[in-house]
Amino acid sequence: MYLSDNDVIKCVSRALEINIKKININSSYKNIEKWDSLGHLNILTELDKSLKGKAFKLGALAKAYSIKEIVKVLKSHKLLK
Amino acid sequence: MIDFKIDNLSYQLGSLKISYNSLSKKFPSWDLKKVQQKTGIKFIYQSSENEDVLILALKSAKKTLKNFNKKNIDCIVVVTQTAKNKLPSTACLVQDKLGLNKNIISFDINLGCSGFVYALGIINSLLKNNLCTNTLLICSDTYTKFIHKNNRTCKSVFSDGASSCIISKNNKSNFTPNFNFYSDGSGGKDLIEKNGFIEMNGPEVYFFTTNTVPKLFNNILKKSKVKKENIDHFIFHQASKLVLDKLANILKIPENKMHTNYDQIGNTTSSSIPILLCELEKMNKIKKNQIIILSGFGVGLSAATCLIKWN
Repeated sequence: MYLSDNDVIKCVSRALEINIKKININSSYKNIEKWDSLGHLNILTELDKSLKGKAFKLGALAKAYSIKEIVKVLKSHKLLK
Repeated sequence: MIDFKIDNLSYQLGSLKISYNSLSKKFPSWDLKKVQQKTGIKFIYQSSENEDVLILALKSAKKTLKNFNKKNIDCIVVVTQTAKNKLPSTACLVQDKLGLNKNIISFDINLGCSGFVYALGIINSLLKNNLCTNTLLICSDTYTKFIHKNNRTCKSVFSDGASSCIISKNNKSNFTPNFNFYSDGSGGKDLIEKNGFIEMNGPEVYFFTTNTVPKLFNNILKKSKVKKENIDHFIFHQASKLVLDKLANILKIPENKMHTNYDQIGNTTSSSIPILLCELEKMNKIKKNQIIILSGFGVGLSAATCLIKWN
């Protein structure tokens, strides 16, 4: 199972329940109010669902507070299309 | 062989019971329906302005001492991180307020969610060395007094409360309780009090827990030579639904052996394990000679697991 940049954006949109049009590759906890500690857990849960249980095995995702950082972590673990 | 027994379990929650529904009305932008799906928590308990760690501790301890001669207490241990005053220790104040012996050991342990299991380990060691016979163990915390009004993560999880019990030597038992401890201060920043407010990095604490607890769990089974199938009850710190579901999934714990009460009480930090034990005992769910695994984890970051036989 691999994700694209766009899939990551969709996961964040679903997790934070924010219209996908308001999220892009530059979105992060700094410009999205709902992206707090609980919001981040929701994002990880969504990624985990999409990656069939692989996200919660990647400790680095706990520190990935932006879409770019999430993409970078997934890329380094060969989980990005 | 020296074993201990846990008696007279009691607890006292903060007097303000708050439902998620009422929190939702107060903070409409917090999307608490979604939060509740993750935490599983329906109610939290806050201490009132007049309640502090000492007051909750005394209320709980008085219930514990209702059926125990206080003259026989020769050790007081209080687990707390949110005492009103940094000094003196809450344990010394408890000695005075309850009119306990002055020839007594009394000290505090500065730990959170792993604190009850740590305290059992320390008391077990004191009992083995004949330094005491009956310990009044109290866990008491008022985290909610240190949560910023806009902190959605902490405000929707933590409850205030105290628990208490008597830990005594059990000479009749041939069981040896086993302990396992773990500390990683590099994660200290992930659950920290800063400028008077508690901040928690949920994902980091989650990763710590789901990685560390299974390791401690497997180590203790090896050390105790006990098979997982022979454990009757799994009593874990009541962090949240998300954490406990994941641990149950990783460790393949049968549903009827994994006990929870976070939905009704929230996360009472060091008191969550003894409160759950107290409830299960009241409901006759734990019985003499059953094997129980206790596991606490959180602030420190710190974790502790022990395998005990219920006496």
